[in-house]
Amino acid sequence: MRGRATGGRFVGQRVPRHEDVRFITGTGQYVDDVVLRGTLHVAFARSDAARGRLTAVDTKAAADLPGVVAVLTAADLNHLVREWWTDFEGPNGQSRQFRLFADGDVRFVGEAVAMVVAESRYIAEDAVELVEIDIEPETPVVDPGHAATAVAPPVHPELGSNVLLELPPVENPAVESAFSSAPHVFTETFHQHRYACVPMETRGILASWDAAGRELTVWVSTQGQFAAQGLIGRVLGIPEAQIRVIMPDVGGAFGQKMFPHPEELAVAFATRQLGRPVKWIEDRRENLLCGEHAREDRATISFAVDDQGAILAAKADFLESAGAFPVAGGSALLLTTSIFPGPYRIAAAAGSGKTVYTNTTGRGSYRGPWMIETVARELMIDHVARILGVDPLEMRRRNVVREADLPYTMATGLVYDQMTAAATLEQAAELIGYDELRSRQAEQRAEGRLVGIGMSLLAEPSAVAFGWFSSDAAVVRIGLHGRVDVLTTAASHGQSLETTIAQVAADELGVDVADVRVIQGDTAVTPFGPGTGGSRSAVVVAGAARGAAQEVRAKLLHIAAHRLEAAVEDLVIEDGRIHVTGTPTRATTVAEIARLAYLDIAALPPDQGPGLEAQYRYSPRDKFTWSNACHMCTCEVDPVTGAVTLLRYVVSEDCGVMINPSVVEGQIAGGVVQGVGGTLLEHFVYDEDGNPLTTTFMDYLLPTATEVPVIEYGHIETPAPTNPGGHKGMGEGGAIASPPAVINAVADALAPLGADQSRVGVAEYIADRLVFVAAAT
Amino acid sequence: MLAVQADGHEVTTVEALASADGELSIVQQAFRDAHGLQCGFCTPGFVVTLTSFLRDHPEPTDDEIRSALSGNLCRCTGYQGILKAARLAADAGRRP
Ligand code: FES
Repeated sequence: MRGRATGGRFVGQRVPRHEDVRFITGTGQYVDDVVLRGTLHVAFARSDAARGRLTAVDTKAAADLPGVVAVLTAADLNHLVREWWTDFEGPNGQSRQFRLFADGDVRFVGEAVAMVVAESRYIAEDAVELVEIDIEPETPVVDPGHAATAVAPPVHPELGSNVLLELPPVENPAVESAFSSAPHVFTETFHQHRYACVPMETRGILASWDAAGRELTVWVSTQGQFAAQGLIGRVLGIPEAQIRVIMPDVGGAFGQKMFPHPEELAVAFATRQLGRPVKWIEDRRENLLCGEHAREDRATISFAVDDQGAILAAKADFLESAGAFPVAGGSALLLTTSIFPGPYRIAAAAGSGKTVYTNTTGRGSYRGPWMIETVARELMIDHVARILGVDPLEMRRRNVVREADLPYTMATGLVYDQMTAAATLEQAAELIGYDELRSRQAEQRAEGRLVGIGMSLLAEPSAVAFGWFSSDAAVVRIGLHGRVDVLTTAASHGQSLETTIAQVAADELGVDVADVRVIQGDTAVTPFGPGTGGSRSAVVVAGAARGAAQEVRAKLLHIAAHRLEAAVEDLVIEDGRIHVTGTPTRATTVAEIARLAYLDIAALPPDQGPGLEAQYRYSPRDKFTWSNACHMCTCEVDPVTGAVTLLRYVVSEDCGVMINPSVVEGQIAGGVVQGVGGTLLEHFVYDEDGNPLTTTFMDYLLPTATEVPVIEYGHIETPAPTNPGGHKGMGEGGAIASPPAVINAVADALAPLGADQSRVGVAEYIADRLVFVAAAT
Repeated sequence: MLAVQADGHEVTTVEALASADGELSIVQQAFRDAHGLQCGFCTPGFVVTLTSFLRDHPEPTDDEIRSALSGNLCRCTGYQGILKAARLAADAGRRP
């Protein structure tokens, strides 16, 4: 199980990243680095009320400021938008509320009311100050629990209710009978506070309309150029063929840049109206205020449990705050309710939930958008274990899906064809030295120290392969001089795909990885695909690159066999050289064959046409490729200040065959620290009037180098059966499993104080405990 | 640092660190060797901060490195690769 399935010369190695050199020398090119002559700059005037009637928008003074070219509002643009569904949603996406600018009323603080387009950003910002916006404030709905009630004011008056999506509880006899006969039944509600993606590069776009050629060219900070192309075309009513979207270097996204938002779309309108290039680079306050939010969830979990701690049945009811204008895919309810049993043998399970509009910033798809299911389940397991007096590791051992159970069908119907949760649990326990930690903890507790151990198990549904996400493609071409280009559908923005996809192609072709260049991010250049998100690229893009490379390799060998008068089966390709097995002198090179293929067609075998290139489109065997992981950590809580210090952090991960372990570990680390930050530091706060209180980095606290633990890794490599490389996606798991591991550790640290860990969840959970600690000392 | 605070000073940015023939500085090389970057957006800031810090503190402890870098944010790496790169660069810089 721990061996490597298909390790090659480069796959499995810690190959240094191809993309690094331009970033460490300052020559990366992000959207703001793209400069076009005559570019106009944008700033937005925004609502400062969460809900209210928009009685006047006076743009005259702003428009009169020298240097201002236009001030655009709902009256200018909203009526031009007829369709706003994304290809990810299909035409049903039209049921999601959307508008470019506030019109008649405002529905969250930060909603764009007017857009100033000016000769410089300075002028645009000054002009925004001159836009007069009159709002008669009305009572907003901030709390999702309240939003769901009949007495709540409507976020969208044209709708009958604030419920965007409801999956009502369904009568499930197996669940009910388990609950009525189980020796123990527990129910708890967990709250998760709102936090956000916060990429270091904010949103940004440069759009340029060529009136003569009737063509729109867009450079946008995005996770997928085709997602942007489709939506921009639909919103503006321009055929896709007339839109070229270029994705420059992108400084992180984490879900925030899957689809353009009203601001980017308004910029595209502006260039078409004004005939000059228009650029908008979001500032940090805007990014925090209204660049998508995430995570504001509630989950009520019920477990039916026997005396030994076996979970016989589970129910989960979720509540999501969608904000006023959630983005496509903003609700994760369909996934949350189907995967909440996680990697455990829970024979009967029933999920339900609601997504509700609130007068807050729209919900987006932050790294593991469904992660409340893992948070709530893992907190519940510790909670129940504590009540039953069972060690949390032991509680998990009793319930986890074992190798012998495979393939395992979850009570919700999804199937684990492979699942090594049990193995990762043991590996993590060994790495962290669990038994010793527990005995040491007893001594530390006796000394009055508050030391805790927390853990979580995660099953990650990676590489979704249906609908919009069905496939990826790659073109592999060996150029005239023997160097390899791989044009992919990927939209790497930190995922290292310029390196990992090169590793895969290099192994298939038998060339040096340094001779492979990965090209991405331009609708005029690359094949069509959904972009990078949902932990898909190592599975789907690598599958496409592998397939295309294999076709090119076959042709390469055919031509070489002809040239060397040998049989194809007798040839090997190594490091760009092709020779006959056992006779290294009967040889040619990839470069020589490439030259033949393009320039000396008469020298080719009769059944081979010219050129050395192939395109391959790939879809994995299954709709999901499951990876899994176990997180364990230790913490100490200061009994005086309540400060939490993470002491050790261990992740045991099975993402199948690793292409590049450094990249895997980098993804784990980034995710873990986002989850640690989200749990201990980051909290997007609204007051009861819907005013945001955390729109700067003074208030919204990101983790820094001083707070993070050293992360230790364990790897288990069980090849995925869904794809030929055996890879599994793992980009989101770090951010999903870390919050419950940290919270469980804090709860464990505080357990001797008798803190009742029920009632509350993530934010309040820790805050409550800390207050409790402070009060107790 | 705000731009006005740099008035009258010479400013060194990341573009100046590699040699003319493209050879990476010790700190730049360490970032590459230790997987110290992902999206790269924060990287110039970290590379320059660390270069200046190591010039003044050639034998830093891990805690000193962490606090020297605490004014720079990275959202991708969880700082793991960055801290490793800093240690590598510090050790490499000490070698004769
Ligand atoms: S590498 Fe992306 S922010 Fe640091």
